[in-house]
Amino acid sequence: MSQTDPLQEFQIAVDSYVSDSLSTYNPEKHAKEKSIRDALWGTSRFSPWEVAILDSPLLQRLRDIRQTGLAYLVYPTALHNRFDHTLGVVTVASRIVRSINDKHPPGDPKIQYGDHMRIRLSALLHDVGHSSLSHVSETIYGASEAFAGLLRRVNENLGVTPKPHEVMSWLVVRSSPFASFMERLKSKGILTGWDFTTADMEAIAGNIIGYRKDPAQKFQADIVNGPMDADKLDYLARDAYFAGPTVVYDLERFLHTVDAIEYPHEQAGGGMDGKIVRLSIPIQGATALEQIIISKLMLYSYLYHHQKIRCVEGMYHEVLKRCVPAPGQKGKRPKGKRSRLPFLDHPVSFLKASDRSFLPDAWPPEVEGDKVAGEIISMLTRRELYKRALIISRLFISGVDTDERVRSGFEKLLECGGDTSARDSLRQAIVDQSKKLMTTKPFKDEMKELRAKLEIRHVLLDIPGSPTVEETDGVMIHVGAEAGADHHGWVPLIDIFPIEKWVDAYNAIKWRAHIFTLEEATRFVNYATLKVLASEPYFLQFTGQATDLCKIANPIPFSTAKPLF
Amino acid sequence: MSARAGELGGVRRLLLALLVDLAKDKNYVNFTGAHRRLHEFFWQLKTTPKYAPFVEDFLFDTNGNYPHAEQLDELLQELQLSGVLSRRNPTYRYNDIGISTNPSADEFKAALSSEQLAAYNEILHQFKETLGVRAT
Repeated sequence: MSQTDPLQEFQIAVDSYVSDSLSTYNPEKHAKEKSIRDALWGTSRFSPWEVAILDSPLLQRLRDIRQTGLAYLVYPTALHNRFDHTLGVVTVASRIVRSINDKHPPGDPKIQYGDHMRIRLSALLHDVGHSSLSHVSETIYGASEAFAGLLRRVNENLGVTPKPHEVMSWLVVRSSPFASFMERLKSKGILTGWDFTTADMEAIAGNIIGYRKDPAQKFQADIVNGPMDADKLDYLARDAYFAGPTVVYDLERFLHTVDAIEYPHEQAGGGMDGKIVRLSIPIQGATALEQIIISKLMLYSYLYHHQKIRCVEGMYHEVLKRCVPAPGQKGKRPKGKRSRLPFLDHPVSFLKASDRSFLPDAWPPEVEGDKVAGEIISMLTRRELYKRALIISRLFISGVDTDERVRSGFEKLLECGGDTSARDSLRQAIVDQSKKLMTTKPFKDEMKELRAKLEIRHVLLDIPGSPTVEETDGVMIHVGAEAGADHHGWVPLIDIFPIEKWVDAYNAIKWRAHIFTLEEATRFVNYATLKVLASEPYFLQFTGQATDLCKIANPIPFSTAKPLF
Repeated sequence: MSARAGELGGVRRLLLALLVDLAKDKNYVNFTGAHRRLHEFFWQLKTTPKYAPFVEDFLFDTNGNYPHAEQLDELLQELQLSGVLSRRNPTYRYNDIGISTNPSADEFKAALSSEQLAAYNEILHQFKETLGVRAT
């Protein structure tokens, strides 16, 4: 039996999507460049060919994909979208290019005009692979078996480990219909002024996943997707600005110091005698980079790991899970889940979705078809959210510093963060114990209705990962000759700014996992969770704060010595 | 996006087994916290056919300054968060191991064939020699 190459399979599906998207789009030539105002970066100019791409359905879809998903339910002004962010990334990418060129002789720019345009094109297209509510849907299609196969193949071929939406964007940009579209822009006289050919498309797409075949050009990919790329510089500033928390970093200082630098590269495997050119900064600019990393950690605390945002995302996941085939049920909508919601039978189908594909535009929200999805969507739309039933923090686990068994148990619990089936087993055990508690004497009659209602979808177990700080091993800092011959004058940032210590501290103090459930079930789910996690294989006992901080009305006291049942 | 560490059932158990076995060996006190050396060790396993199946879930980025698997970082962070690993102030240079037994590690080793167990023991030897810090 012949096996389909996952890359080929996905590329065919994406080609079809791009072809459909562009089939009715007739780009027009704008007489001159367009000035677009942005709340963050002010006025930026876009060429006629960029405007033609911005006006295409591929980019316009991004107007309906919120940058920070459902965070607006917590930070009401976090309504910015992927389209806004895209414009920002193009602007920042150009600022990086100009800053680099400023450090080189005017007649011999490090980045030629054509390469500058190719970088802008990559920045313009870097997020076209996103789907509904950005990273919220990415965790669903990215976890599918088909997508895992694609990521493995991309890794084998190119040695990169991109995020799912980056791979989707890469597939869009390297698709034949998109190359034809670019040719069309050229033949219509819209794309002029630089030496574009469709042979450039692989390099333009490569920038999006941080890949350049030629080590001498690697810094160009770094501007779009690298440890200190335009994407990060925009989203950190934009997410903070629109959500509201004050998070600042010194962009001017960063731009003042950033450069494209050649240094020895042991893994280059040929080309330039083992040298590579990457974005880098001298030691004088390291503080600006440290600020960027700290800003990122702050935003994890304020935004990305905010308990309420994690809760609404968990609720939304329950909706999305009903719109994809159940594991092992390829191509089939799960039984009994008739719905007006789209059925996304392949990861590429997500490219056809945006926020309004799942969220109702009418008020009051209409609930039809799939009752379960309808109930959750209705709750989200009305902002009737699940509540915390338990806070899991290293600070609230007794004996984690002294008892080996507790450490192993905590490790077992953390494993559930990425293991869906282990997590669902634990959720089911909590539901079962909650229901059992509701059958005990004081609650039996009163809780009949809730006992009948409570299902696994009403109990969310959210275990976030640690913040990722890829900047530390990816950025080389020029420390000069005094650093000694061992380093050839270069050291990785991690050697002078050990971010792992910050992440350790973040994990010890700020990191929290949660159990969320229906408000009326919190006291039962709290008790049940404490009981389940006190047993084998977890052996975890929590201090009172783990419950107290949830502000549960009338919690049921739990004691391992005297359990209620 | 890399797989979350929890999805890395096999490699997670491998690492737990290595940690437990290192902790049991009185000749070693802890192992290095040097980021590059840790990633290079597992990259070495990934590129050695005999050992590759143990770490097949790790995807390495080989376009950077050295081979790097984000999943390894996530896994180490989780082990640190749970207290299985800890790093001491002020240097944070070494990882102390906070367990001497672990059910997942036991299950992992019990499921290995004799051939796989031999390969595991070779990996353990290399782990100690390459990354372990000897008791003085």
